[in-house]
Amino acid sequence: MNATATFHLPDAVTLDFKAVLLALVILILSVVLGKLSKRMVLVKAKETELSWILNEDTAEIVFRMFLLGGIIGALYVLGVLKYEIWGTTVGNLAFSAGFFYLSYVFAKKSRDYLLSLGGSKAEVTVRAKLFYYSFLTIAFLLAINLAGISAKLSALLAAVGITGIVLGFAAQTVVSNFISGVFMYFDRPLQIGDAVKVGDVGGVVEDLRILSTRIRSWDGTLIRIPNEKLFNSNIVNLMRYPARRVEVSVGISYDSDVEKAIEIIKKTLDDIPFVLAEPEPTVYVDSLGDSAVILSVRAWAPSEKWFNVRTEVVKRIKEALEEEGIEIPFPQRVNWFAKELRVKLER
Amino acid sequence: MFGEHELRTQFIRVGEKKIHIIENPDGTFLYRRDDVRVIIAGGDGLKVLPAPAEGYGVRFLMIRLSTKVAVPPRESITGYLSAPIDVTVRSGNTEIDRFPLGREKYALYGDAAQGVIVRYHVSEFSTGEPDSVGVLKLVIKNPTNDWKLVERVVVPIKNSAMFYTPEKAYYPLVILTTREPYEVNNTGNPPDGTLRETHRAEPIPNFRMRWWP
Repeated sequence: MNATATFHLPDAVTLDFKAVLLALVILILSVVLGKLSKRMVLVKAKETELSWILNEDTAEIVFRMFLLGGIIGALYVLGVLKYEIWGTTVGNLAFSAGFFYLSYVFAKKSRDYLLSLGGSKAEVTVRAKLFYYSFLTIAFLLAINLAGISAKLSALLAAVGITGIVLGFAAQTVVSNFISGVFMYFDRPLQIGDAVKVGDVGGVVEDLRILSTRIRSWDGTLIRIPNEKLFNSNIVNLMRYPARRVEVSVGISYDSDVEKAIEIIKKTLDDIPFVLAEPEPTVYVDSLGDSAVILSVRAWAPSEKWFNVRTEVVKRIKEALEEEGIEIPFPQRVNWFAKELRVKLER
Repeated sequence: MFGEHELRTQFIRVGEKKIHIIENPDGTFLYRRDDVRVIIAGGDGLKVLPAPAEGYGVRFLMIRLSTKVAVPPRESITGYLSAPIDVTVRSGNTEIDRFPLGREKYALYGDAAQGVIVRYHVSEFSTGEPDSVGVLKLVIKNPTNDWKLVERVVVPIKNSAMFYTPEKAYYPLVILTTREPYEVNNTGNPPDGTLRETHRAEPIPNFRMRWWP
């Protein structure tokens, strides 16, 4: 049997048995070395405090790196890398793919590291995303350049210019949402975790994405708002400032002692821990209603406790007034009759 | 009150609160305080320790002086304030319960846009130790050439160490310097050398009271 039997690929690459054997050896070696390195990383991961960088993910990445190196090495030995395609070589394409993959891994790891840093969760999340996408965009452009197809790509883009214009019109909403997202990042009207009202939508901001913002509504449903719409809406941020005011109106009967009622309400507010002592709550006669004297109660609460404080204030004021015999009246009407009514009582 | 308690059926009184430990027939223990129930599966004892009055998670304690203090130029004055505290109950190194002792109240320190929610308390500034469970020793220093007025002190307390005797809890020594803006230094040092420490903690120095006096 002829040990130097040759294989022919059409028009381009010629393979001999030695080269195939060597390629196989390189592949097997890369797998073995990859597995060994993976195991070493796993062992180190258990000992180190830098678990954000040395962990199971990293071990898997190391293994893939060896595998990728092995594949490229094998292709080189086989001479496949010289094969021309789209005006460049397979080698260039493989190298640029490897470069982009490395950049992707680096960007992902860096993003995870940024996310693991302390500080404001919302701030860190947005910064990490911005870094991740910027890095990937630059890496992508460099990879295209390394692949040697940027000139071809430009020609292709020029060729599809008209199509581009058509697509541009179609994509204007996407672009608009993207640009609104960028403006929103700098304008910062809301952050992840904020309780907000946008138009008739209310809830907690779950995520700020490039094209849309996701809000978990009060009833637990997910609402996706395109950034363009959000940018043009009136946004009410319920948690931007540390304290929010609770406002409650209380009606007491005209027979009741107003001063006493005000004192009772003030005492009740003072007994509720989350009603802030400063700024001091105010209670005053707001108006003389049809059926009751209307007292206005204004108290401040930590923004994140606002709802609980409001419900507690209403409940405790009712209980306290009832306990002190101050009537909260039903609607009343005094009727006058032009002629005296004659009432006949039947027994 | 404060310190380590043996795990056996007993009442532990902490201020106006009462902790009840009940030994179960199966050898476990039931911890009860108001509505809080925890089964303790074992261990040597239970630690009842004072903790800074962080309440629901605030970083500062503001004590408003019921009587303002005027300090002459280049003088300093030392006194005591009553202070709210939290109580932490630990089994081993795990906190099984935490509750405020005394009146729990909060306030906004600063303006509506840039202020911060703080734990709030009103106290007399006295030269002798107050009767309250929680005590804060305060040194007011006036290094300036003008008279200075002190109406309140805002102390950074997040993760602050505390000091204690079986009956009382003490914040670390606090120094208020009346150079504007007033500067508050939680020294991390005990107000008195004989007190026990809850844990080793760093001082929390140089907090500037943007809104003074």
